[in-house]
Amino acid sequence: MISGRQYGSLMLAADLRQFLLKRPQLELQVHSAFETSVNLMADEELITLAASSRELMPMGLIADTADLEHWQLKAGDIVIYSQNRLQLPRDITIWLEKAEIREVSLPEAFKNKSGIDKVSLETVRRKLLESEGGGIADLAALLPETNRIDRPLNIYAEYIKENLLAFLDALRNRDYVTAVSQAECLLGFGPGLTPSADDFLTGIILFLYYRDPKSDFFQEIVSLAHRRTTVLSYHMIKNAAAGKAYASYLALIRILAGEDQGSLETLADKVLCYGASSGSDFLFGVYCAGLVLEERENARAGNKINAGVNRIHN
Amino acid sequence: MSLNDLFAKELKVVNMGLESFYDDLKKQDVSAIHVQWKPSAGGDKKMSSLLGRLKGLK
Amino acid sequence: MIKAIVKENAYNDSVTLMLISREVQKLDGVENVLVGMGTELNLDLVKTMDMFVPELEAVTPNDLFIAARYDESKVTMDDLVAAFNEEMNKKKESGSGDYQPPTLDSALKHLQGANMLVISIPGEYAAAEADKALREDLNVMMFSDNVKIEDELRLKKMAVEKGLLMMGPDCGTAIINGVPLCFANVVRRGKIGLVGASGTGTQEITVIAHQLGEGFSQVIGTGGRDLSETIGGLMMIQGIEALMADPETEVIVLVSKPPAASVEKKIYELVKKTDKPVVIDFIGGDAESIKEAGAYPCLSLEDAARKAVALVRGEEPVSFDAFDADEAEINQIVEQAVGKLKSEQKYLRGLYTGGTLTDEAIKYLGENHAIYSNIPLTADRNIKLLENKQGHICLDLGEDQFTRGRPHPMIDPQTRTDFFESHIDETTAIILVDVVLGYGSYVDPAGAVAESLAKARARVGDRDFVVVASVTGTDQDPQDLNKSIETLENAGAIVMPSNAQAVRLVDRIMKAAAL
Repeated sequence: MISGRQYGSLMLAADLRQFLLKRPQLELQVHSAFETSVNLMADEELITLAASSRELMPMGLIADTADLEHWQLKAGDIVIYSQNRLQLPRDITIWLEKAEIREVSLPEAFKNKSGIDKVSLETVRRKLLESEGGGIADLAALLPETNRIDRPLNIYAEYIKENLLAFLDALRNRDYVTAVSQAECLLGFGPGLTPSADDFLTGIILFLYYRDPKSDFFQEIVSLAHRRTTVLSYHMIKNAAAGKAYASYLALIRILAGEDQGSLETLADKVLCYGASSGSDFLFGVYCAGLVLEERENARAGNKINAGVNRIHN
Repeated sequence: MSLNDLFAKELKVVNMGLESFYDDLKKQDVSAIHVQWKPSAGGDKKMSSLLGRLKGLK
Repeated sequence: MIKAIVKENAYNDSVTLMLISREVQKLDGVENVLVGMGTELNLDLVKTMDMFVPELEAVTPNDLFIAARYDESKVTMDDLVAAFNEEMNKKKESGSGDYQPPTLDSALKHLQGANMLVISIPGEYAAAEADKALREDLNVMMFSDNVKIEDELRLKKMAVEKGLLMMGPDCGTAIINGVPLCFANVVRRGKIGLVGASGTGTQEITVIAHQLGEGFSQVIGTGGRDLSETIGGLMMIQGIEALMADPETEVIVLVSKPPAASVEKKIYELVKKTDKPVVIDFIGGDAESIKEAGAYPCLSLEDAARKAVALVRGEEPVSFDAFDADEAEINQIVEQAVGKLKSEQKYLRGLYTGGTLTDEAIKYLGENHAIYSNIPLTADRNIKLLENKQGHICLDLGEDQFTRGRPHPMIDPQTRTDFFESHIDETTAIILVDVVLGYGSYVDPAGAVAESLAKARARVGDRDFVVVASVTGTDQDPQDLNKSIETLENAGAIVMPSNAQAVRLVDRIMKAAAL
């Protein structure tokens, strides 16, 4: 007997599918509810139910409905998962059967050793300078050769500037100990539901994950995040440390890494619209990671040339 | 482009400043958006040494 | 006073948090506000900004906090909480809805195909924003003034090159594609195209033409300085050219104060090139040269409207400088008015909100009377020279000196209310006012005038004034036109169909009473 309100699902994240396969019966609790998404907690994991307009996220399920507000979910509500469906209060059922399973991470690390795509990096820089996120991406204004009127930093960017630069310095020098201690001075900082600096670190970690993973370093930051920032940010950073993110974030870093050609402009525009400043802060993180990686490449190339020269002289 | 091109289009307005102008446009169902503009508060024009070293994109 | 609101385990999306921050910051008396999740670093920032208070001690990263520094004489904690709650409870619409981006760039991302920027931020910043907009191929309407003339020239040159509008600075009125912008009345679409350097002048012409049954294709504003030597009439010329080419426009009307000589010449040369009839009201300007250019000169803003209407209808335009009411009725009104006045009532008090309307009044009345003003006809009639207000006064209350740090009197009647108090006394014989309706204007300007009149009468006791008013408005304006007229009449005002007729009536009364 079918009763109540029934909804289908459009997409299911592969990691969530794995998670649910191991748990035939699961009780979840609503953590937070928004217009187009609802976060649920179960077994220390954060699961996101989202409306059809949203992009699929790690541990996410896109339901076949335009907005979730009419479900009237609130923090504390219990949701039961069993037999391939989610049972919500007030007789609402979400069927997972027909959902398309989608990966939320890339199949492998970046292979392309020819390096960071400079042109794409330049495009990202330009997009950052054109956008006005309001978070710490305003630090992009410190980049030289702007072809626009200099924009002063907002108070958040101003406040965090030194720590952020020290963090990037440490990364450049592969000094991960210092990088971690500087990250401690970034985590949880800034405006937004996911504080700006967390979005920035997500960008850094995600790009490094595929280009030059340092799992100890990532895990340290994840542990720090657990204590120093919001639950939602913690999960976001944790996902990045496992190479998991929105498909558009992943597509973006693939282009920057020279692994793909694609419309960077369109992607960047899309990403920049996320949240109030989340998108631009994330993009700033990706950009800085790109700079660090590119600098390292240049240094290596320099060393090779020097070594070659020395051999000749010998 | 000539001014006459504008005359053939639907007006889509960005409003910056007095919010009442924006409210009036919305009342008339005009496509509009209001910019919450703030003046800049002075600025830091120093280049960061780190990012200067990192740039490599001259 | 610094206070904080904490909401435990509160998760609100970033746009809402930003809106909360904005709404609280907007409250008068709030100096600084920080909104964020209660992470250690965010609290560090609060401490650095000297805004830390005990309520924040127990805050954890998953709590939302708002710390505000405010002047408790101007705003209370309750106000802050109310603003916060209002934003929290608002149902956000999907898409851009209520989202208010912080800059032009982000606005353009959210409003695809934007083609007009209406800008009213302080003058020192306005030029830079207009520059950005023009580069993005947006047309610009700039209400802001106090913009450097070099900037105006540069912006207008760019606009002309790109075929864009740069209306302003100091442009308050336009109706583009039928959409009233800033201060403008709702008038029907029609065959008259207008280019105006005068805000209320434009408004007066549009409402009268509408009342007579005709309408407008485009109403283009140029800003007050366009016809100066330096700017060279760039926008007026571009506007005329566009109307010449516009198939919807059959009659062209120009309104402005008299242009600089070189600019005047350019305009006449252009006007000669079109077959469309052109009506030119260079207020107080030279009728002969207008005729020589093949255009129709005007005696008043009302006359300009009437001529344009006649031309649209294929009729021969006839100059109008009389009254709608017949001579007998006018005589009766004048007699009654004079009869009211006591011997010590000697002076005219014109208190205007619209600059061009003031100008029209002074130019007409100034021919036969000594009218002192802040925008006098001649230097010797500057209001500053008048001692103890013992003379006829006609003021433009929208002028810079009166609007520093206060809203324009069309938006907020307080300035005129104040002048009623300071300038109306037992020596006042006639009060002359404009009442401007339309978008941008105060919700009930007639009511505000009525209230001021009542207070003034109470102040002077057993005296009555002669009050003459005109209402610049249409039946489609947001304020109720008929109700406005009724309110004024109930307050004892003689409401005339136009500023010109109101001014002419005042002239008659002044002559009859030998003021």
